[in-house]
Amino acid sequence: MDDAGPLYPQLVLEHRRNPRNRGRLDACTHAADGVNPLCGDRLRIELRCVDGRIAELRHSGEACAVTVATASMLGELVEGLDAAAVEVLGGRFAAYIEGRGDAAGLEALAAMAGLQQHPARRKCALLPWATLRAALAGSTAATTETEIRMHARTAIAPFAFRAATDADVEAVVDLVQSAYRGEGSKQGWTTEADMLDGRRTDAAGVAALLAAPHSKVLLAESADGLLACAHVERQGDAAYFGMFSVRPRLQGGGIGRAVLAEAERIAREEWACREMQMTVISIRDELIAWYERRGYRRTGQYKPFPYGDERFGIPKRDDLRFELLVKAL
Amino acid sequence: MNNLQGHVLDVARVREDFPLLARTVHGKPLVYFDSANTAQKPRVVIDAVDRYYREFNANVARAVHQLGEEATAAYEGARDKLARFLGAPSRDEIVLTSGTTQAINLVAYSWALPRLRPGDEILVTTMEHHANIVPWQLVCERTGARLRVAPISERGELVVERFVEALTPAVKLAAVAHVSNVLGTINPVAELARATRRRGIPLLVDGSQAAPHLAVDLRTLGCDFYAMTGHKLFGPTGTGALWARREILHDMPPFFGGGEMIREVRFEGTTFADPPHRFEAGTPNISGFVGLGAAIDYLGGLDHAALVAHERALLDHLTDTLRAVPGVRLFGEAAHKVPVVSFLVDGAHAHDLATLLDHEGIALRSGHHCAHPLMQFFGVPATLRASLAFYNTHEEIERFVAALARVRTLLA
Repeated sequence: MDDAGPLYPQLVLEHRRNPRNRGRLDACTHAADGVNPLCGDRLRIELRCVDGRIAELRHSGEACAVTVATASMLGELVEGLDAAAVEVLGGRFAAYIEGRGDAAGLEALAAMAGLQQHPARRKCALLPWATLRAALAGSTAATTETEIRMHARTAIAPFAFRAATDADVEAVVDLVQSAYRGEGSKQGWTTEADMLDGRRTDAAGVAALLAAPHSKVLLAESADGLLACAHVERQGDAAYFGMFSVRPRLQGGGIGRAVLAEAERIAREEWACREMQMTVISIRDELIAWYERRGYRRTGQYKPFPYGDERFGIPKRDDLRFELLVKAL
Repeated sequence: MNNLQGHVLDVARVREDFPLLARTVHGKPLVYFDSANTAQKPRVVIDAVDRYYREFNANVARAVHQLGEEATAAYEGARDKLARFLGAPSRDEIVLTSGTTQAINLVAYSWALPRLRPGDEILVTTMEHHANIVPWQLVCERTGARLRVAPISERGELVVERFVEALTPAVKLAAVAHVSNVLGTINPVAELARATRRRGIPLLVDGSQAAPHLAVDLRTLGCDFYAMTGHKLFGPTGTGALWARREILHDMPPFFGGGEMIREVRFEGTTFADPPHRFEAGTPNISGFVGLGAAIDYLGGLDHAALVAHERALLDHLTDTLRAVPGVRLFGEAAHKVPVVSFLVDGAHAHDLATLLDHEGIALRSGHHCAHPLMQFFGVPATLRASLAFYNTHEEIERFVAALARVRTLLA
């Protein structure tokens, strides 16, 4: 059968058979799950953004040919674009499939012209767009009905990763301090305010990390400024992860997961490390559980807390110690 | 079935009664396999609606002029016909509604809402349409009652013992589909009604999918409420009915207020009309019920035994043919069914197949069929559903299966 009707030209069927960019990303900066309530189809889009632009996109999930082909074509189209450019293209695509505009700039997606005669199926093609926009907006869930439904505790603007330089030292110290010490840190769940007073780190400490070889301070940044940071350092075959801080009011929104994943990617891809290590204050059960959900395991190896060295804070209790957590990369 | 022998439906002649069946879709003769969604209408229905507007359009039960008399006679005539069609003991027990959804909501708001208390329960089944779930959830939210669910088997049959076990003293109402819109399963309503009556629990039956296929007889069913819709019964959209026992209707307060449903209105207080008019505020869908009356007359003129025999043969043909197709999964293989078959095809999305089949002139439904809990039971987001009526043919089944084989290759 050659003629499958306007909705299924050969190009659409081909993309459905061999979807581009299908799968998952090991380290994504943005991700969202989209649902089309009309049919229950689900689509996940994961992104890795660099400097606010889409460097990599992957889509996964069970969906119809229209959704899969659109996601496949869209993935090729938006590579290298920022959120504003995606917004423009999304609007143009929506107008096109409603017969209100031409296909300029839509490239392969021009093949979705059949939707002009199939209004009942338009949502199938809008699902990948809604999901992409949700991901870029820092939301974690989208539907074709409400466009974007915020599931995250706090909406996070699109962010990108870069390595810190000497110019960032002050901002990093402030961020780390805000996540772990004082009343402000209690807005997030990483607070150590009830265990420790004093400093968590200082400018000299951060500067030393920047100066060390095979050592990076990773920053996640949006237009609003610094959102999160972490230190990752190569130590032979393993990498060490530390100084992990997310702005307290943004915690619980998925940004920490993205930072950890990016650090693991650097260790694995740039340094060829086989293992990630970190030390966590052993009484912080909920923090250890968070790492365990991300593949880390407790080793039962402990290090004493540096009582007396006020660079790490002033302990409020005398039973603190660090436990080593590891994950194979 | 010996009693059906000798009853043969002249399908070719019947099809001539349905003008729409003669049309083409995308250049191909239409195969309409979506009658459980809405049925096509015989010419007599279309003509009746047309004649009402041309010859006796007037409001009902208000006007004393000749047109009003004629319109009222035709509208109330539909109530008489529905009462006879359903085997209702009295025409005054037939409340005319916009369809099943309004009928069930009437029971939810007028009967259940004032009665239910925290801790009470409403029992439904896994195979219910959203129209027989959501109104009860809304009642539960407002009263503190709980919704309980009687399970079905993998074959798509209600597990009667489990239903009966669930009829505890906490249950104040049971609500069950007569026929499943997704699976085609015919539930043993008379058996369920015996169990509910013994315990003094009212039973509501959603008859939307039963009326087009079965000879419904409320006297032998033994339920307490029966909700149905006209547009699946070959009548116009926006028509339907609630039947309830006279004593139950008398105890129900009005649901909508307005004209037609009153006896006397004073600003100090209003007295209401007796059922059924108490529940029929405002100008009703007069043309629709004129058409529904014509549909019931039309069905009455067919040999029902021949219709049942033909539908059973269609169901067997469709089921056996689909079952033989590799990679086809059937949903609902109950012993007693109407010609409704839900299925999925390996590696092909339901919506893609439905669109591709539409291009072949074949209309069937894909999706969740307003039955999310049932989809969850089978662990699928959606199915394809071929739902047939007596005007369908064996040749159409062959065309459908051949087209299915062709379009599958596109998605392979």
